[in-house]
Amino acid sequence: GKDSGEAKGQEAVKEDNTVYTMRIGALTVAPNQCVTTADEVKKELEAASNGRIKVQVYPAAQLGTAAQLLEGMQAGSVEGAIFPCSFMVSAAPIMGFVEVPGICGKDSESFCRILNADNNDCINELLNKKGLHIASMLITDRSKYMLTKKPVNKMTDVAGMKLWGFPNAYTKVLTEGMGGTSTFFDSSELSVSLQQGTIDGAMAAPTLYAPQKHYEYAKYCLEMPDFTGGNAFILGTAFLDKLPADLKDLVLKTIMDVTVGYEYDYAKTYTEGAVQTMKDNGVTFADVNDAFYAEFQEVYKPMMDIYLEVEGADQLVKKLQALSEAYYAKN
Amino acid sequence: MGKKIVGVLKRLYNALGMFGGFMLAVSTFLAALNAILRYGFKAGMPWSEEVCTYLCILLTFLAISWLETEDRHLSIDIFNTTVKSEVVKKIIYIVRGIITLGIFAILIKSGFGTIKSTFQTQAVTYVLQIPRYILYTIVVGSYALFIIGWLAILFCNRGSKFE
Amino acid sequence: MIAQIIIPVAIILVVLVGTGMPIYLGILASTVYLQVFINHMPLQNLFTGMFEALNKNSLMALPYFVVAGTIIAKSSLGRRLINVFMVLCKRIRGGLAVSCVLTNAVFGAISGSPPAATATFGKIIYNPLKKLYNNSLALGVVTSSGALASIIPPSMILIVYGICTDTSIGNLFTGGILPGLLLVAILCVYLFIVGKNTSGEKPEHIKGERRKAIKESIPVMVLPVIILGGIYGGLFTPTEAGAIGALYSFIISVFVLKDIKIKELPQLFKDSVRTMVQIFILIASSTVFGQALNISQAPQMLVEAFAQFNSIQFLIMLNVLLLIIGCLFDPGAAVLILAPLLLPTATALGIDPIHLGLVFTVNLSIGMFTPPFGMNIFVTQSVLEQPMGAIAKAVVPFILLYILGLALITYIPGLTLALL
Ligand code: NA
Ligand code: NA
Repeated sequence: GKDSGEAKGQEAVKEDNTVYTMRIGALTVAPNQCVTTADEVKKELEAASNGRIKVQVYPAAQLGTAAQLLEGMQAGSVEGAIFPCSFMVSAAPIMGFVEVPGICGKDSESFCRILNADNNDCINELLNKKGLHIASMLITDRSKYMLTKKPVNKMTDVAGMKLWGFPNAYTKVLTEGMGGTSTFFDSSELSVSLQQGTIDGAMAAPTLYAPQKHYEYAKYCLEMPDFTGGNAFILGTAFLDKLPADLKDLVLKTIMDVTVGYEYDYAKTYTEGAVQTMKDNGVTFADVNDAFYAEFQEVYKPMMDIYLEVEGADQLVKKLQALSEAYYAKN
Repeated sequence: MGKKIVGVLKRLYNALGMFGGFMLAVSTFLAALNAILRYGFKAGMPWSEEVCTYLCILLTFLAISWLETEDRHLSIDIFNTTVKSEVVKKIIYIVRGIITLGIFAILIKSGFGTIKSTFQTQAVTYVLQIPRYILYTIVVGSYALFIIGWLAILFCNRGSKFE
Repeated sequence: MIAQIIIPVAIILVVLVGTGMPIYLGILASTVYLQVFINHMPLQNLFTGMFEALNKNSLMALPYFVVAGTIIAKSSLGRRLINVFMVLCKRIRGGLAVSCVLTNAVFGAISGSPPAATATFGKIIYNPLKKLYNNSLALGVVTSSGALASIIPPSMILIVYGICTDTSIGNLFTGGILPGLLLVAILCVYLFIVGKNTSGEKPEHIKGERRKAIKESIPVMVLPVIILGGIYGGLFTPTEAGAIGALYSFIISVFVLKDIKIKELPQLFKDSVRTMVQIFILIASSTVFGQALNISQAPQMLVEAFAQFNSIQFLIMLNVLLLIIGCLFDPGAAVLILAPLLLPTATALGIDPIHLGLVFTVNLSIGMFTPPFGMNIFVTQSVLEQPMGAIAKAVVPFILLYILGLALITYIPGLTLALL
């Protein structure tokens, strides 16, 4: 009796001392918000867990591409990752809601706070089945900019343009809807393609354009209306299930705290800085006028149709609307 | 019996090499056609880049057993040119086969895990939305053929590469 | 700790690859060691990692240029191209070798892929070089000249460096001009000197030969015009240029010149598959190896050691480190991992970031053709079907020439910074 009691005690102590390694993959390099946020999580989590969790951050796709990271998290060989939701769409089509203009409403920042306040439960309900869990989300508006070699002031200016965009089905529909042709290749080739004129422009964020100095070759930037963009801090459920309950809560809470207390502001400042860098280097920024805006609305319709075909999408859209309404009723 | 198996496998691997050539031809033609359509007629095929890439990836894995059984993968030939004893060479070749089988057993096990999780999650490719588990199944199948090739070398071909 | 990583990996590679195991399997075995014993990682990501390593459209430039090269070499297009080179260069000492260096540099510059350049142009130029000079010189020229492609702008390595260290890519390109020309000059002087003592027969002068050769070369001379014009004119990407080049050579040699028969096509594509698969499977395995080594924190540990050096020691040690790294890693991956880690130390020592970028690029390019590991070596081995021993011997003078250039570029920062 005594021996086994002692053994049990030792086991409990041993379990307390287990150090869990948490590898976080990102696709970009610092000072991109994904990497600095991961670094911040490392700092906070290692302190808060008294060293019971050891966080390793791997920027620059060192742990692999988005597809590799997602599959790694599902298999339990990678614990977490932070990257744009655009890259999640192929593994989890339900995430397409961030890609489709209109679903996240006009005020993405509030929308983002609504989702996070809900711990992203309505999405995680669907994602957990796929072995993934969104710990926190950053959704911003003003996220898609068309950077072009020639000015774009109306839809006909886009006709015949070869445009690069993130590889997913929405980009294709969007580009073709505007009358352009869509092309995909590694973003590392973007600089040379713009320089040599292989493409006429790209649709991404200033946080991609500014560090890669695309402004050296393309001088016109149009803010595309109603677009939102998001980064998700994703964890594998294989990892979460392995953690003792207290650590699991700590991990989820710390990530959420870092997103709300750090990432929101950092991302805003970082994006503004990127826009400023482009302006300083001679890029002209333009807004859409009313007529152009109406043309965009037409282009967006089929994107929404595609999304609604995704399993569970219509329920999710309804839930998101209900959450929004409840939030705005209160505030 | 052993000879017959080796003969069948040899033809199979050669056919895979030939089929790889066909896939490469299709990929090259599609890529060229896409460029011509896009720049000549302003009507590209955005899906073709993905098709071209996956054709080349899959043909790589499909053709590795053809090269392996004929021992034509890139290697450094110092050992085979300096060591004269055929017995030593054969022993080393058999040891190499055993290590190779180990590595590919790991790859297959890892591949099954990936197929399982991508099947459950219904993960698809970016543009054409092809289920990823289908692509991975072809790769795991190629690895299985690779293992069969080495088993045939060890047990049906007295530890010699296919001639 | 670092010894626990480096020594076993070196032993596994030397023993397995040294006894004739395919190189990619030696690399995979080392990867398994790292993942299991150092990183304590599940092996599942090995499978996805190899697949995803190839999942890049830009990589497809290689197979398409391989197809183009195979068609050109097999049809009369290759002979026509060679004839015109022979005729034009025969009165200049070392002329053919020099023109090979220059053409490969230009071709590699635009194809974006030094191995693709070697695969296409090396295949065509090897036999005439061998005939005019000797096998060793031919192998050396073909294997080493691809390296120029990474140094002469535009260069993928410089782009990656610019992105990950926040340095102007335009300035890096400008900085690459003089170092690139310096290396070309060094190679040309060398070829001029050794070009004298060739064992090859002196071709005699035949009247009208020049005009005939030029006229016959027109169908093949259209090719660089399409490829260069297409890329610089912004018509297509380097990858598409490879495919267009292959399609053009196919149509000309099968339907116009009719020197490849339809029934020869399956074998032709099968030959291309062999070369392509040999290279692709190596890319796949060295990518997962790079990831595993990176997770083991070995690069970070190595870099920490650099903090104690003064600037000359730093540059010397950097040369040594990068020459070794250049053997095993894709240059892009090496820059992405090491450059941000080393830049702060370098800046503190007063080394200009543009200068450091060029040192990285030249070093890694040399690593690509130093035996026994290096992508350009493997391409030569595969495309020309030559033994490693012969290649290793052949590249020695070229390694020395490049190292001479590297020393000048490393220790005379003005070479890089003069045009800025
Ligand atoms: Na170049
Ligand atoms: Na090397």
